[in-house]
Amino acid sequence: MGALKVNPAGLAAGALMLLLPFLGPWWRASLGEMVEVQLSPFTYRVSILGESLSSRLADYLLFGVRLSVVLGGALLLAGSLFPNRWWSRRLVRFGAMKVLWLVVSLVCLLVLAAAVLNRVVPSMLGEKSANVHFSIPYLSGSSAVEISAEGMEARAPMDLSFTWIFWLAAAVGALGVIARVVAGRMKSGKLG
Amino acid sequence: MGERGLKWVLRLVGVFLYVGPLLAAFLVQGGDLLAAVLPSEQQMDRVAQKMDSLFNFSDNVMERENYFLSENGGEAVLRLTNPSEYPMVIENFTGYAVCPEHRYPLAWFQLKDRMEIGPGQSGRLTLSFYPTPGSGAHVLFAHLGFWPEPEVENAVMKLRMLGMEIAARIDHGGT
Repeated sequence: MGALKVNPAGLAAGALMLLLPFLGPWWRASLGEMVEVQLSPFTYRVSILGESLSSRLADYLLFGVRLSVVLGGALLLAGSLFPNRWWSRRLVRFGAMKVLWLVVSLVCLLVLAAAVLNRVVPSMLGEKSANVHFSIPYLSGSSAVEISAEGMEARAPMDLSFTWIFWLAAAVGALGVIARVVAGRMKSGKLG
Repeated sequence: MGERGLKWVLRLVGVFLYVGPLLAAFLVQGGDLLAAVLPSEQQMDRVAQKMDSLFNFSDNVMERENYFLSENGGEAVLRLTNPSEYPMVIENFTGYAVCPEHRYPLAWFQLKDRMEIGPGQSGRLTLSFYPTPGSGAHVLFAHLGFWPEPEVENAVMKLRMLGMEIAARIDHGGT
């Protein structure tokens, strides 16, 4: 194999990392037309009956994550463009794994949230007069919330899905891992 | 700056980008952690108001405007008001019209056409009545041929609102 003058995986991952925070939600959930949730590591939208709910802590934290990924992408690009400089490997290492960790964190958060809601909420509602039955799908899928009270039954469809941006992020995460491996090999002289 | 220095600078930047915003949010809220985590009271109030309006069905939501029932069938026109802020689609309204004295089923009824009623608006629902096979004999022998003013029994209104399917039982009301 000929000597590489740049780290191509790092260039691709770095460029996509600059775009990723501005593309939109990674995951969506809806309960009928009453509740809508859109989530990504950079932004979120929780809307109940058309009213948005927000948390200052979440707003600030996700802004920090956005800055971190944009900075990581820029440094990954710089490190990949000049792989033979002494600082190259450090910059690549700073940016390469960020998106992968975000993908893993989001998946863990969603699994944990579904598990908690499926186990905790029914036990909280156990003593109430209305019977509420639901089973939130893990990560994605369709289900329904069924409520039965005296003289009334209601059924609200629930849909959870990943958007294409999530899969793009997973691909960027994989590219980041490859970029890191390539940068290590270039540094040790096996590739560059 | 050598490689070791760069490593520490990047580490510190990485940590600061996560910890800094958390501290900023905490400080902006005057050190109140709950206020920083939870939505504002105004937002919660607006959601609570919308929830209240959703289920705020008063007694005069449904009024009878017109009605007749005989051995050949019948029809009733009801005026239904949608008190919520959201459109409501009445998919069906079925049940029995029973003799109030003997609880004998005189007719079965259903909604003629599904109907959408806008937020805060009223609509007229037309119910078609189909007499049960023994209703004529019951009216003849128990009510001397005069059809009594029936009551509804096992009445179920199926409606769709905000993507939800709702079946509400409406019992022991006049037609």
